[in-house]
Amino acid sequence: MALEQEQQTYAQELPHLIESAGKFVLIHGNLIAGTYDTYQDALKVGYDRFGLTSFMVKQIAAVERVSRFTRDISVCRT
Amino acid sequence: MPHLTLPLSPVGCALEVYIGISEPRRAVLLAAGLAIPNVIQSRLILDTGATTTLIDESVLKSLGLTPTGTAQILTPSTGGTAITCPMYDVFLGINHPNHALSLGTIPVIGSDFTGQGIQGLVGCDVLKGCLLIYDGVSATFTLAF
Repeated sequence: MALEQEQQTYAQELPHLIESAGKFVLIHGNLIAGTYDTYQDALKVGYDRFGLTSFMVKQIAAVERVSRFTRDISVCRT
Repeated sequence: MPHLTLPLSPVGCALEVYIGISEPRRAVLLAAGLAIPNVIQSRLILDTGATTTLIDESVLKSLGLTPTGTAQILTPSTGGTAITCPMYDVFLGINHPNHALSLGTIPVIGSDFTGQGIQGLVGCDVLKGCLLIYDGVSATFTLAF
């Protein structure tokens, strides 16, 4: 699964991140690179700092928002 | 308020959308002297039953994208257990006769729409910023921004 390290870092750091719930966190490997008000801001810093290497932008939430689809879809999981 | 009124198609509220790489990714590619992938015109349908926009994997692959996020999703076949899937940052735009309509840079999920006559779904993450009128009587829909 892509971004496995970043997902693990998010899960580990969530107790500390939760005070910024609603903001977007930028994670590179096991590094929390910052939190930002918008997805676009976090994405821009991600590309500026990490270029084409792996990084993850995620909205901080105590309970992760689930995307729901009323039709069946075939999603890529890699 | 710019708007489009289009006929309903057999697959629903279908429209042509331009899909490209996000501006930050474009800047990185330019700085590295790498080729910028052309925007891809794709046929998407508006789907109020989708909370997130989905794009066909072939389009994402053509743009050379790698994941910059993840999402938990539920579909009829996942039951009550959400699965994790990668998300990609893309730029979406609509070709309007009088306006260059940008839907902005958003995270999307990759999916396989082979054989369905479409290359993706525009979900409520985009539609929440629009006015959508479904006119079944005249077999048209209007999308206003």
